Amino acid sequence: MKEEYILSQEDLVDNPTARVPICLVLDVSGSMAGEPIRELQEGVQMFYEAIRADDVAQYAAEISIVTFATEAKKTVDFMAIERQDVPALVAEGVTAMGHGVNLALDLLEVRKADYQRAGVDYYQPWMVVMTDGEPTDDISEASDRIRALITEKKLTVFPIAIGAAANMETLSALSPGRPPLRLKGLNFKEFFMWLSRSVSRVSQSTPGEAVALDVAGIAAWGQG
Amino acid sequence: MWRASPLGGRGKLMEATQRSNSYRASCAQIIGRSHEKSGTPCQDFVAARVQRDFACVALADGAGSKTHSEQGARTVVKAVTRILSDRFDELWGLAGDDPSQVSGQLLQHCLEALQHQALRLDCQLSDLASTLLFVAHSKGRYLAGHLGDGCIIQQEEGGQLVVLSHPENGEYANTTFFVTDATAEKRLRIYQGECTMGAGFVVMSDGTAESLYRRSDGSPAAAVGQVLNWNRTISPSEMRAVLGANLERTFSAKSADDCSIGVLSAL
Repeated sequence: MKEEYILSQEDLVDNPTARVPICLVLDVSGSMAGEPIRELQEGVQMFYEAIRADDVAQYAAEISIVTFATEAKKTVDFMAIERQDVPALVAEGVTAMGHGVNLALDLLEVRKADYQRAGVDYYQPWMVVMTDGEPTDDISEASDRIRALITEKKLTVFPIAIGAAANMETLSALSPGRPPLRLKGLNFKEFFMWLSRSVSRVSQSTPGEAVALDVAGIAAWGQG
Repeated sequence: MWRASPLGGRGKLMEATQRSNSYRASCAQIIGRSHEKSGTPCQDFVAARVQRDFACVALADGAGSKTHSEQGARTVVKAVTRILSDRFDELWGLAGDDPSQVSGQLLQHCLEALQHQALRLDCQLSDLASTLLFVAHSKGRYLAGHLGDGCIIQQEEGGQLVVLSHPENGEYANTTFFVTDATAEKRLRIYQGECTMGAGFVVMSDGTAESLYRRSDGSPAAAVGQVLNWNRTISPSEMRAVLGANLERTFSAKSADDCSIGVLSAL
């Protein structure tokens, strides 16, 4: 084959990688102080490292972090992962989970609109909610929004309980269709490694391909 | 004469070229890296058919996790090629008056073939889900159809490239629409028109479209013009090798998915 009949990369278009937007919604209330917040911090760090080490996911995954305590705040906004720093998590205050989840849902909607404006394809957004306690604010609006999004297949949500004090019933209200799971001990690292593998699988899926969750892998970090 | 690209894997690149005094049509497909890694067969199927006054390229991309979608893709490509070859004049005329009649009849024909295949394979119809793209040309007239992702690019008189049919995805990157969907009849887009000899068409699956279709503004890559130029000017055997080499070395670098392409030139 003569080289003149091989198209050069310059003759082709350059489409951006389809994105998987992920929002981590993390409880940093006072009860998380000590070992839990340290383990969570290391788990988030490991999540970033695992995504950065993945050939496909490093370009596909986009992460934002919402923390909630007495107030909810956008700790890390969506942007390319190589430009993000893992924030220092500090535990204090009460548990404004409803505000945190609503803020996360707002951020995901804004990000989807950004993708649409820029002509960037994207996968169904993911939201991970991690808490060790009970909300001190009203979660009914957040629960309603999640229910509507999941019914329309517009969101995948993973509510994760940390420790025995986390209220599974409350978390169930944020997870229609899939029961929340309780973290085994403080196995944050195992959870975030599982999450990065799951994101990697989704980011490589093609039309018509249903991506099954790695249920067997959940055993390393979760219990029902 | 019917020639199709049978199913195959990397290293078993499938190509076909058809030539007449009026037409040249070539096609090729290759299994994607992700399918090779997972042991999934190539789910793209593309075929070219040329007769004296008729030519057609048709392509289908089987749904990712459907168990027999590679068989479904093969079945609809053969079925649509057959009906276009047998009834081109009638369908072209009907498309001018009522395109929905044409989409209904073509889908009915495809679904009958799929039902037969489902019985043979003892599977559900949905297990045979695939997209569908085709262009047929006869005596200065073309009829094209498209359901799902991938795209169809046309070279107009004067050489200008235009996207005749854009990809239709759902909201998410891993969603699209298939022949076996309940809404398929509404989603099968039919295009009909006249074009002089010298026209060219390229059909491609989403894997190839990663290289040849810019999603942000829906424009074609300049490379499509080069591919059509080669199809008109080099020998059929050379064109077969050219498409195969570009799938292997160029298009597959931009997508881990199966890649396929069909090229039709009216000389």
